[in-house]
Amino acid sequence: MSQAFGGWVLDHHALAAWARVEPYAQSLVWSAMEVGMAVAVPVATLPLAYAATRESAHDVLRALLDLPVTLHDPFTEADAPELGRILAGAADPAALTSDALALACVVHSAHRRGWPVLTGSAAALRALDPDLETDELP
Amino acid sequence: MAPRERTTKKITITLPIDDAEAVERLAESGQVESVSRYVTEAVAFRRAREDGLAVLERRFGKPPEHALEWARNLVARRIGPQGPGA
Repeated sequence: MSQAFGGWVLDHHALAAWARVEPYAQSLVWSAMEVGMAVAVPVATLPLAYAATRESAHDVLRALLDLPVTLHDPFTEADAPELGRILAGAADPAALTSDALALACVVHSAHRRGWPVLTGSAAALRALDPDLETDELP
Repeated sequence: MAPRERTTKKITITLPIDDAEAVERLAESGQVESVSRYVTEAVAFRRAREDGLAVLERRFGKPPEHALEWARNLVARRIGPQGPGA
């Protein structure tokens, strides 16, 4: 499906919310699809999303990945230098948590696509980029 | 050698003059491969959207109205008053 109309990058909090069939995460994907917008999933966020949800929710997560509206942003060697820059640019590197690499991938996807991030926790993303556009799930 | 199976079908469609001429201009300028290609992609795009919504509705049901209203406001803020084509 086209990404011409833009969309959202989903972080692991948003993915986990989707997997738990929480109404706001479901609604954002539904509404994006209604108008031909897309959602991008940085694949580096998927292990955290799987880890944060029960086994029974994993099929729900896979359903999102299979939707025509979903774009997969890979994590390759070519992305490493930019991810390194994002991590090194953190305002307080000592405060980075174990999900820092996944969050850096989310920030990288958002920069590359020029899209906002749908998240359940904007503060952690802002630690990597204070100017990042985010929409926070209620 | 077995005959090659047809994967396309020629049909006649009617478009508003403005739309038809706009697509022809895109094809003539090389911005799209052909008028047929443009229409094919437009149909595929709509089908993907409708199929995706059908999958969501079948699997999870339509989200509750209060959550949809929140999401549609976000979408409207992102695409502006002119809609996604703007």
